[in-house]
Amino acid sequence: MIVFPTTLEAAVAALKVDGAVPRAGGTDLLARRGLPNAPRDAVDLRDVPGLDTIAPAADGWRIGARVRIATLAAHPELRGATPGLAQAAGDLATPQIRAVATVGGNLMQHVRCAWYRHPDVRCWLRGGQTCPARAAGDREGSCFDLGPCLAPAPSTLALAFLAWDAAVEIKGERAVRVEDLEVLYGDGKAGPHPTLPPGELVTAVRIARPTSLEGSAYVRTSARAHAEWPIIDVVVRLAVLDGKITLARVVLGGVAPIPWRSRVAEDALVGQTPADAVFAKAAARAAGDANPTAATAWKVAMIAPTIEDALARAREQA
Amino acid sequence: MAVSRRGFLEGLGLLAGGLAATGPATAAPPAPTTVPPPPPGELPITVTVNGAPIALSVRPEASALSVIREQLGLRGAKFGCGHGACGACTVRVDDAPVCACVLPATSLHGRALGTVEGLGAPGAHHPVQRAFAALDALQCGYCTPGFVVEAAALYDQRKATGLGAPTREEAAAALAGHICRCGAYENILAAVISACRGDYDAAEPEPSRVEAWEKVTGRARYTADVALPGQLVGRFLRAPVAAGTLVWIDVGPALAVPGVRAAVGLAGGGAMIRYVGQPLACVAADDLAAARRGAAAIQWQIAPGVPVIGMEAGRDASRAPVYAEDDPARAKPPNASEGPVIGGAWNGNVRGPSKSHYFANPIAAVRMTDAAAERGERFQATFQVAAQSHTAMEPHGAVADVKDGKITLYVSTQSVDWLAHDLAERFEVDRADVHVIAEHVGGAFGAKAGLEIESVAAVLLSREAKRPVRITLDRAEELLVGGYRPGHALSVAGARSGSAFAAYTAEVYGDGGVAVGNNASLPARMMYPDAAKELLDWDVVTHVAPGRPFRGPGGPPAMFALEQTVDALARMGGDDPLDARRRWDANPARARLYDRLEAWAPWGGRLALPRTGRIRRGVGLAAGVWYYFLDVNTQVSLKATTDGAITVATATQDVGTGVRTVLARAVARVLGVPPATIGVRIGDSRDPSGPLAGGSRSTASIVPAAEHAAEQLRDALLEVAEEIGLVDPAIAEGGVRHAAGHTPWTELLARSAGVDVVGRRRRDKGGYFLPLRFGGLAIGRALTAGLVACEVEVDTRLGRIRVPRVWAGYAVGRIANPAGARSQVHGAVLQGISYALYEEKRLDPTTGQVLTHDLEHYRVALAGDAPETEVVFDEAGFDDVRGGSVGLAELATVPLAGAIGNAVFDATGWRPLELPIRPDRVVAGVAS
Repeated sequence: MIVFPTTLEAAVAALKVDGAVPRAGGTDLLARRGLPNAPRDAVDLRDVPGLDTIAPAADGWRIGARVRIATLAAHPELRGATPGLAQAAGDLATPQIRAVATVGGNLMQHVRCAWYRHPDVRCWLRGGQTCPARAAGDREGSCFDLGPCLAPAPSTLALAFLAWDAAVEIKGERAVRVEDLEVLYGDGKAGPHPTLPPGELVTAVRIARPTSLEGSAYVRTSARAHAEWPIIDVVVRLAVLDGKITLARVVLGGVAPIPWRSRVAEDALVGQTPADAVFAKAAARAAGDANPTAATAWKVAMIAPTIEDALARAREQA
Repeated sequence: MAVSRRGFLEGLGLLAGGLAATGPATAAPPAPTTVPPPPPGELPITVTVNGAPIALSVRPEASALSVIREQLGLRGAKFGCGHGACGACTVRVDDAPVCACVLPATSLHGRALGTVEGLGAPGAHHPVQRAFAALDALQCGYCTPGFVVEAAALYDQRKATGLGAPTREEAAAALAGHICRCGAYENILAAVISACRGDYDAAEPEPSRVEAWEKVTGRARYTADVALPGQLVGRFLRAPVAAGTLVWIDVGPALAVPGVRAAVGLAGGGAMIRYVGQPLACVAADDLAAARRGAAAIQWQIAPGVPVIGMEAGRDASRAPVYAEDDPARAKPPNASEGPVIGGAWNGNVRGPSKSHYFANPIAAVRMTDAAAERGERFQATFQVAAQSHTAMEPHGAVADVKDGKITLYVSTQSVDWLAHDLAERFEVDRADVHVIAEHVGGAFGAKAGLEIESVAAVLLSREAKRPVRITLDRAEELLVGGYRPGHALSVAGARSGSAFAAYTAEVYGDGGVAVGNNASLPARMMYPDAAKELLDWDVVTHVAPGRPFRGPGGPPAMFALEQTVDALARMGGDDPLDARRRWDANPARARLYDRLEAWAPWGGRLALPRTGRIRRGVGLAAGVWYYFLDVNTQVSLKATTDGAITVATATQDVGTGVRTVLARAVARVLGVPPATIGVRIGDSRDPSGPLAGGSRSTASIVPAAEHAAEQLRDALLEVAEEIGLVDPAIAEGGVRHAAGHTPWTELLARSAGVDVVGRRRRDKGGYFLPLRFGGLAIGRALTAGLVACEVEVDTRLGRIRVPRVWAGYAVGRIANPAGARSQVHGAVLQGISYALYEEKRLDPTTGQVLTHDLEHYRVALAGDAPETEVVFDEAGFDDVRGGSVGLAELATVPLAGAIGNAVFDATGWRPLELPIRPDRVVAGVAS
């Protein structure tokens, strides 16, 4: 059953139905429609007002959950102030998907694991006992192996949002709560999908206003030129004052069941000069943290060059 | 035990299907099962469709694509993947291109929908449509409406913002959400750039091929678009496990499901299950949802076996046989090659060897030993190449309409003619009572060559339901059972002796699942005649859906191994790879191509490329060879009417190669008239026998037959000229010249009673290679020749390989249709790159489930991966071939993987032995 509430309150009330999910762009829900655990009930947000704007706030921006990814990628102010975010939005998926898919949907989408998406396979994430991807030696799995599920978190935007210390506004029946995006994703042990209790809806993402001294970049490593789920992707953010790095964010995708913020890499950058050797050392520390499976060990070698490329690009603006 | 959405009884070791508990094998059919609730209520929406406001009622869970195609009847947008990866369904919503397959229909409410049908009309096509039509930016055409809609949006946007033409990179990025499996990107990019530059703003151009306007406007009708009155939708029930025995099956409960009109078993109790996806039964219903529910309601029980999955398991002699010794199926397994299956002994699941070099060659062994012992001039390696799925953009499908014992079948096929014959035989009806129609075919590549199960199922269901039935595969089914080029392991060795290529040996294992026919050692037989050879092929049979012939079966893996061996041997002796080939290669056509390659700038500049540091560049080349096949039974009819219309027809089909245009040009050439004046009808089994689109036989078969027909028409009209008293008439351009001037054919036709003639494919001078015929297939007395050079750029840290430029030269005689031939090369190059760098059919090693079940996981090259390609044709030779033209499609893709392998070695000093050359392999390989 799909309902079309016209107010946010009605939407949240409709989401109290067990198993009901919100539908915004609908791209991932429709792609998963044939799967055995596809949700039967959805709350379509088409007629709910107020979710699709990007608004400046005192401490940054508030990005509505139903803002389309293409809108985010093209936003003039964000392109100037947070290029890493705009690039991440502009590089993910394909132009047609970006024109429809939304910020909230990107954060809450399900993993792309070949087993999870297979109509005839039952995996751990679908209520099975074991992870068949792990048993089969999935090369595309996580190399920061955090939990029973091996699938990397799929959200590209989450990397960028984490780099700008994002908080998520969640509307419940009675109030709006604000949660750190990092907390929403958890530690990866409970699986790669952020889940909300019934009756709650992500309504917006708040990101911090960047300092005037910073640069940022998004780099996506894949075999093909376009339209491929990345082997590794990364958003980095660097602020430089008097030749020293004063702020660093390094958030990796494709490597873990959650967007992976590499604090060891960030620590290795702060206080240092933005030099290639410093970047290489920090990137190597990010990679050194990995605990891959035998089948995903190859990904570890891709981490450092991806981060180094991104840092070099961020440095150009900082 | 394995997983199944149908649940299973673990204690008994039996898998069971259906919604209710199942009885023992001997039990009576179980009671009808509970039925899922009907779909919930519909929702009203209003939407502006191509400028006109329309009110609709839609199911809230429906995709926009199903509403656009089924409710609005606009069938230009195609179903390609169903998950937003291929872009075949692209439409515009408030100007932005979107994938209609993953767009909720309800989100169209209050929006402006633009489809390809709204873009332009005859005489007033959109500039993008004009550019696509003029520049041959299409092949099979199934993806074309999606590309055109996307490109039109780009055109409009760049025009509105004054940005003008995009760069190649910008155009490729804009098209990143579209897959053209034929690989027409080179011309697509050119068309998009040219249109945005304004080149097609003013006037309608001449189209590059006969059906170009139909394809760029979405009017071209594919099997998937056929909608007959009362038509039902079919769906298969497929085996959920790779191995076992079907204990019993009862389709009865499906009939109790509302909306289901027919259910037919395709396998009975006792049938062996040999692969996941093996069809067990089929159901026809009012809509797809009901058909799915019906298939799920079928009751069955399977005693599962232990599947043999992968080359290693297949070669393990201790594993149970896929075909038991006493199993009659063992005598005639499916064939993954395009030639006949040569006999071979079985050893467990390994069958062979078949020796494609018929003369057992002790010399090869002696020379190999000498080379190793005396000079160390020996190269030895085991190459391993992944299986490659065909996955044409139009999935397999058929629409059957059985009435009064007569069968009409619309089908996505490579062989309307043979299929009609096979259908008549299968259903024991007269050939005259079978009508097969394939107006447009959305790609095939070898996987749609015969009587496929969906044709059989559609006929069975239509006969049962007494209504037309369409059954088309979805993308997951296509990637599960739709065919693939087998994976191979090739253990090869090459030896040089002084400046000579002394010996080449190859032991090749091919894993085509339940299919046999591996012949990937064979192409080496036709190359480097001075090298002593021993070439052996084995089939490894596993519990996987059958591999099928794929564009040059055996050729790309064969050349990946052979041409890298030649490259290594050349370098061992300090030779330039091109010089060594010149010495070792006796083919005169390739000798000319070697000369022409030297003029290619990247070849001349290759020594200056960077070969140290992170980004390294190199150039590699590889030779290629393929057979010249033809169908000796080909006939082409020509009907000329008194109003001057001339129509050429034959029962062949166009899978994207431009066959209509080849026919029109062949007739036009004889008559000396513009090709656009010739009407063409193909894709209809009622026309005279035409060739199967496989084995690159079409051009060599239809050109001579069309010319023969045109000559007869010409002669008949010359007689008319005499009869009406023209003095000294003689054949001239476009008509006859006579004492009083020139009279065109049209005028003579007006004075005639009309002319009907049939042309035959007359024999080549000197006959054919063997007296053998397989069907009408003959092997011509000539070999085609190819030479490809690739420039690569290797990022040694991230393992990414780019192929910026390709030089592709071929000798296939006279080029019958230059634009179409260049397009064939573009596609072959692109598919070769895709095969070399990205494509890999992956299976779960335990269950045999296909993991590359969608177009996100099964990765093919996209616009951004397409190289700038220089196409060269050497038209000399082939003088004994009737018509002078032979086929190109297979040859053109054969050398690519070898050329890329050699280029990667040239750039990095690391020789790739495995396909695809994935980033992880590059990083590990270069590091070693």
